[in-house]
Amino acid sequence: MSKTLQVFMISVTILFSLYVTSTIRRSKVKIDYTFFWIVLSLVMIITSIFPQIGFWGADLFGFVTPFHFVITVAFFFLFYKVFTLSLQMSKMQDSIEKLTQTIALREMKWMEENANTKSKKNLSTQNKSEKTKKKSSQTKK
Amino acid sequence: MKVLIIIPAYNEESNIVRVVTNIHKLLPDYDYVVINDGSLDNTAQVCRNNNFRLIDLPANLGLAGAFQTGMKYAWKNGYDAAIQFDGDGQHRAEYIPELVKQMELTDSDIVIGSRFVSKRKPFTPRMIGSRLLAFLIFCTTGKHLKDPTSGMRLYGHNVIKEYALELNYAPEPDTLAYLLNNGCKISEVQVKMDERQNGKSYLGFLGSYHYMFKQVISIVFVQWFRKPTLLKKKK
Repeated sequence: MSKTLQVFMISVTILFSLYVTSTIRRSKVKIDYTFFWIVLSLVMIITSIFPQIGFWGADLFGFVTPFHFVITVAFFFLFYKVFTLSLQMSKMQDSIEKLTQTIALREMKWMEENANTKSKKNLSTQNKSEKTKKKSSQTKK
Repeated sequence: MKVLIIIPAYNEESNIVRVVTNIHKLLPDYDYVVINDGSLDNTAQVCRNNNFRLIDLPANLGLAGAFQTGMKYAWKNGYDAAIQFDGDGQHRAEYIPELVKQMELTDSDIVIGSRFVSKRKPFTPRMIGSRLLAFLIFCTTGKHLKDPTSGMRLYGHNVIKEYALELNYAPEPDTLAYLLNNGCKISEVQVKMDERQNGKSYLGFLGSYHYMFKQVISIVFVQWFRKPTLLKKKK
């Protein structure tokens, strides 16, 4: 591996990890979601400082070049990440649906109760007015 | 001191009545609130039938989200302190006044109801995990916490707002480590806890390993990147 390529790799990985840590600092991201990226950036920094790891892995699994090996590993990593993202998204969508439904149902219940109490109130006031009318008519007599 | 007892409950229909009536009986002056974390069983119905003070979450948020709901309630209603109290009957209500007394005496921001202040830690798998976390917290903060995983904690006025509003304030050991590094004062009181009697814990077997992994990474790496709390700025 040429020196310029290595310097490039190291600076890119360091920039990436700085970006990850700065999002944590600004509390833009939940810590649970950062573990993957922290581990990934650590691995990336280590492999760019010691590219021998790539050569060793390529030898071990029989890849033609270390490049193939790194790309394959990254591919599986991202595969896994995308799938878990789908899982999380399903869960989120489910909870949003649940939330919307519950709010709507509660509002409906509340409106109905309100309507009931209102009509009861109306009835009672009507009764009262009728009674007072009767009373007034009685007194007139 | 005006103290709120926050009781997060997930599928605790068989325990919640016993827990709350016990609080009623032993601590009639304390306010409490049950947070039903979108339970699949009849926890909410049971609470309504018994006229418990209940916040009924329509979806499952997990312990952190449910507890934060309680903290929001405490913050909005101007409580001086809020205590995290399990809905499964593991925690004993009679120790709550001791925690409050400790907070008043030592002016701590957080008081932990610890199982191991004066007692030795047994060598069960869970307690080995607890030892590891305690060791890591000591390494990163220089302070000894005997029982960082205890779920019975009293939070003072200073930290309620942050727990209520900020991101990444789960009621877990990593937050304690982070707060310790920001000049928060944490003390511990010896308490006794019971085994859970019915139902299942939030954490399963695999869940415990996942939990440990997260806590370790968070304590060792992540807390250094987080911004200093409002607490530190005040001081």
